[in-house]
Amino acid sequence: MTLLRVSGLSVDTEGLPVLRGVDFEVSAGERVGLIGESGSGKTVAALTLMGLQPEGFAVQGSVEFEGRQLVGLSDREFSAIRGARMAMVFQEPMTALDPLMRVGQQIIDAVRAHRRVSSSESRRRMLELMARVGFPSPEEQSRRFPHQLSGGQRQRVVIAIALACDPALILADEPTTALDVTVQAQVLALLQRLVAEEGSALLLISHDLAVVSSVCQRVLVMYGGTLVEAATTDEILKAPRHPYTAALLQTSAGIGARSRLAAGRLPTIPGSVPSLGGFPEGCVFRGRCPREQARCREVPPLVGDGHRFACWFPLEPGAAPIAGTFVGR
Amino acid sequence: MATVLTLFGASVLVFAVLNILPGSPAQVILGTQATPASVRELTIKLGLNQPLPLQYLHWIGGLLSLHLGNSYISGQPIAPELGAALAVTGPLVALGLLFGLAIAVPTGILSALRHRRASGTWLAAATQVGIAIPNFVLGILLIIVVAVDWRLLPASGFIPWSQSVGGALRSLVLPAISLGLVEGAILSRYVRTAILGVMQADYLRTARAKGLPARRALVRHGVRNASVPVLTVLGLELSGLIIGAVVIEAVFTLPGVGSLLLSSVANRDLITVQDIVMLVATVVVVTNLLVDMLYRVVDPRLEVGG
Repeated sequence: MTLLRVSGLSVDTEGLPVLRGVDFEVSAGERVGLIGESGSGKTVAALTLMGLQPEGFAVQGSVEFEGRQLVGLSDREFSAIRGARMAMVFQEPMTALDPLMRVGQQIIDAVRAHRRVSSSESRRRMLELMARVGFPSPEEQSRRFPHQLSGGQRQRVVIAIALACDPALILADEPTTALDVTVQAQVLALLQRLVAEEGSALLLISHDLAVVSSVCQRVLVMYGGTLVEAATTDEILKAPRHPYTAALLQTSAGIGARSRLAAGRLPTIPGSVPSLGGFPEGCVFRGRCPREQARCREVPPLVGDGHRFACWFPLEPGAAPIAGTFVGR
Repeated sequence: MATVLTLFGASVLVFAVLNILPGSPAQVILGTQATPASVRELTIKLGLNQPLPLQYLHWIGGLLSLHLGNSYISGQPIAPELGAALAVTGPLVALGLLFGLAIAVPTGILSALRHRRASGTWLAAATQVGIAIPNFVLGILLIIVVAVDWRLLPASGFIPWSQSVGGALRSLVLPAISLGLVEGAILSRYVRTAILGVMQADYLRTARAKGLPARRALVRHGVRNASVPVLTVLGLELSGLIIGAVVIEAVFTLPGVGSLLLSSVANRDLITVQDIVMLVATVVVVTNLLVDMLYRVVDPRLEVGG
């Protein structure tokens, strides 16, 4: 059952395109990864789904969630959905919590934003949530202020806030990026377990292919505000079709980079992500792509059945990832 | 502890500065016709022939036991006179602060909420104009329009509290507005900046992601977070208000602390000047102490005793 259907979603700010015609779907209970370098538009995509895009960002296209069109809703109408049906886990647990409010109260606020329950009932729910996200003594720890918790603990609070009203979809924007490596795995495992228990769908946004591939069933690859490839995790890892995905795979340490690291060279993608408005006409990856030809001046559509990609000259399925091409100069 | 040290430093400074001034108070009091013998006699009577440290100790010891001393000029105790002046200036500063806050908080919040719209820009511009107007000019304008043309409120003078509370308040309204408007305009800028800061904070986005509508999220998290920087400025602005009161009292001929200070300076009544300056210093230092303590209540990150 389709939970979220995004079609032709475009976001502009001051005439510059941040997202251009993004299409994808998320089914109920599905775990989908959205991957891309910084500046690819993935955070804006998540914020736009929540209706929390910064002021001055113009949204076009369609976001259908549980059969309801979200684009154009008023703040009040959107507020009824946010936190209740669709919740978000933010990247920076350091700043995502109010420094002057006890963490327990911040979770209670999330419960009471949508449920008219007594204060003892919302408190009971808060303690239950804190226990579920792994606080050994919720009673005592709920009285702490954010600065009295570690980064990992804060992110657990943020996750508890997201889970407060059993949302159907959780958007997690780089939920582990700001955490210590040892804590990252714990928080990721927690998120994965809770989503499975709740039956919620998860849209996991990350720049880290390893993180996404360990959690998600399907991967969306984003570059320059467009989706360049969408397929199952397996297909993306074993048989990427878009040259950008292939390049990303090669640079991702642990997946394809070890042999190259041994040779003393860190694989990179030549060039850098252009600034907003600096993307070339036609295919957004033009200029950095080793397979570029004249036709790439036209925008390639996202085509394919199941495994979709936007490239005029895709890699052959099953062919070994293009070797050497992307090693930095 | 730091407060006591600050006050000690202030007292030494006040005493030293006023005693460096040339001219003997005894000479000034007795006038140019006085004989050297009578000047010497008065100098001894006032204790001005003693070494300075001893004079300082005498003065500060008196202050600590709440004996403010006697005026050099009238020979009367200073305390009752200063008390009467405080009954004017205290309420004046308090009303000015209240009026300033009443202007600053709503305009600051509104101009922050509308910072992308023309109305917000106009509000911000209006506060800028408010900052630019000197308080005495505003005072004179208010006297001309409200007191002289409209005859709504008294233009000057003060009806003592003991005679008529309403009359006393009426005579303080215009001075308080002149004093408060400028402080309010300055404060409004800080409120605006503080609210804008909160509006961009991640925790506000979190609150909205929970499903709180924009305004409710801002009230829930904004008021408290924005109050931290505003509180700081408020503590600092208080000394501005007291300085402003000196000028405003002169404009409205109010018998307040500022007027007393000015006349004491003119009369070379050093001991009264010292007492008043120390009083003002104490008020400012104690206010800042209170602000510091209030911080700890508002912001749990500042550990008590830290």
